[in-house]
Amino acid sequence: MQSVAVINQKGGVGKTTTCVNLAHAMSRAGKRVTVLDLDPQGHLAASLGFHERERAGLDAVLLNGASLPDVTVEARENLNLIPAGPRWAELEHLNPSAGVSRGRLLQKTLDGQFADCDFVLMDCPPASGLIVVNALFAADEVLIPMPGDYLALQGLSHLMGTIRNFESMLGHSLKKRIALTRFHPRRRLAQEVRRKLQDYFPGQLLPTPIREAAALAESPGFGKTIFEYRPNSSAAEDSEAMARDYLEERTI
Amino acid sequence: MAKNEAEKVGRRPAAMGYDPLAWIKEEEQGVASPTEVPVDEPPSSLVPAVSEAVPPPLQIQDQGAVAQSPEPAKSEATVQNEITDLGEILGIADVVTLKESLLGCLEKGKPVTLDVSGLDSVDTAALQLLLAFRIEAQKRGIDVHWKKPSETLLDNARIIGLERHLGLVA
Repeated sequence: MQSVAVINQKGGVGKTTTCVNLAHAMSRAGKRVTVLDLDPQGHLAASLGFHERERAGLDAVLLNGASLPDVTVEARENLNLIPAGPRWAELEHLNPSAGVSRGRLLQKTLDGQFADCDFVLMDCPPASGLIVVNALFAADEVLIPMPGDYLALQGLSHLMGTIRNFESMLGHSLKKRIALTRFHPRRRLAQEVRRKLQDYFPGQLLPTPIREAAALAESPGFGKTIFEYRPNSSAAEDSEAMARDYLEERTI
Repeated sequence: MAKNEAEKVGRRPAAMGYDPLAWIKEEEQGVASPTEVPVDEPPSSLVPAVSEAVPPPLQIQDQGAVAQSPEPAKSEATVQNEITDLGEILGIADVVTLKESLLGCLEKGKPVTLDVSGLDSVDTAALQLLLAFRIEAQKRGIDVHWKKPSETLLDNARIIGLERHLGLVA
């Protein structure tokens, strides 16, 4: 099992969209995938068509001692979802006296639980607080969705610094992959951002960018992935190609 | 690099003036951060970049006829136009998508204005597509107008002798 934290502290970069469509593409390719909604806003669950805000999820597991199977939802064939749950945001406010162990709660909870799974994708909130620290401790690797614009690049600079600090605490480096999202191939700035990513992070950029497309913004509104909402769109094509890159470990 | 320096060496100016990632290289080149940790080396056999799809050859017909009767662009204010923004970069990787989009414009039967004011890079494949589009529009009796052709478009079209065929000059 490979656990992947989909992180970027900047909002609107395509974390949830990437997570949903990558997970569905992997499951369509025959992989057994579980997605964890770590964002208290519950957007990952909503994107898969689960809109009940009161549905218990990880909050019940971490805060009330429920079991993971109790809160796991079969979202699609080969694709399970564990929602955040209505109390999930409380994790950010756990008693500071609990010390470093607060950051390892998720890791302990998930440990050994997904033996029958190929991938666990964790959709993180747009923040760099305790929830994200929990995700980083629980993750084997990190996937960073990143649009081709300047402010996203500046945000990435900050994020890479944060990850380095985290790695120094962890004592080893995390495998990192960067996914270009909301990409405008005919925009000069986007091409320059892509070149910079290749230059600074060789071997970590997924070769297929996800081009900006209205269908990607629309599909969560129908609780559908891009493969269900617009299966013949360029966005579906890009998402499938990116999943192939991921599964075959292709980077540039 | 400043804009005029970039122009002197024949390159386009950078699309950003500050590199927010520069600290990473600075750190690698000497001043090791106190929090620096070993980072995995990238695999030695990296797969090359995603291959660019080569579009099917476009059918350009009756090119000579266009050359004999170049038409200057009409004022766009006089007609209800279909306006298409061609963005900043047009290259071989974009022509398949752009062809679909341009054909879609022709299907509407209205005059078409191509906004090429921001075009910063255009290659011969893209110019070939634009020429084919203009010829097809002429066949269908649809006017094609250029909105503020960029220096890059004018230069590149002139270099390969297409500026008249494209109707960029009278």
